Amino acid sequence: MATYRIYDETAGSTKSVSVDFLGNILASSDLAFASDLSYYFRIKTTVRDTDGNTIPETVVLSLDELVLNGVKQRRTDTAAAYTSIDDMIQDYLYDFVNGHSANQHSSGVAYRAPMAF
Amino acid sequence: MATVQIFHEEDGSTSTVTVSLQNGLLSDSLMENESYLTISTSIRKVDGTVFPTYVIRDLTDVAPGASSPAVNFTTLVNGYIEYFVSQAEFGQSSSSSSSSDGNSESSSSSSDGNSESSSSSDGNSESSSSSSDGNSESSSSSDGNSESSSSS
Repeated sequence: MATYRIYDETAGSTKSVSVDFLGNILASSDLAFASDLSYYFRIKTTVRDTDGNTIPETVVLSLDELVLNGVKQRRTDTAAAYTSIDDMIQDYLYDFVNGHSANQHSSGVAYRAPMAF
Repeated sequence: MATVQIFHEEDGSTSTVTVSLQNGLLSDSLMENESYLTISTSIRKVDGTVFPTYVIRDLTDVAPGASSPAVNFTTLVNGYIEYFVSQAEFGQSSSSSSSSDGNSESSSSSSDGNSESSSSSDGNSESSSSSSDGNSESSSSSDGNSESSSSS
């Protein structure tokens, strides 16, 4: 597991997001009841956004799973798959920290406030 | 971190394949902090040497001989597990011993001869991998050659 720490110089506080790579049976993808293992990234944080809401954890199975409803990258407004694990994690962290407006990049994503520091 | 346990029913041993997320500098990168996976195993090759630790940056960093790019991380990891197990020739001794002894011995000795020649190429890759595990991409290509010889 890797822990990414984000420092906010205005608030003077640091928050963290953990990213882990796991191999488990995923309920959502075990529709055939095959009990096959899936390998995936799990991104989560206990930090709340500025509206006081929890930030939902995210499962990423492939580099073509884009952060905004699976259709758009958050930083670049592109629909191309991430080119690396590093790019993918950076984009998901960016989304966690900054939140997003409703329908960001015409992706149909729901509004979420930025991370509270 | 994902740890897969592989039970070898012939000798009762258990091997592991470990996939771990890392965050740091890689020697062959631009000295920028980077997130990547490493995949390693306790499985030994037929000649007793260890597999290198492979670095995975994206879905094209598949196991030697696997189709690239992988569809997702499940396909990618399963490809490595299949590669490790096939290179270690798990199960091959049982299949040869259960068949006709004379033929299997002659065929197994010839295949052993091939594997010995492939193990020499593995030796080269091992020397490169032991010097720097981060250069797994170069060693994986040489492992790919050995895989084709062992699978035949």
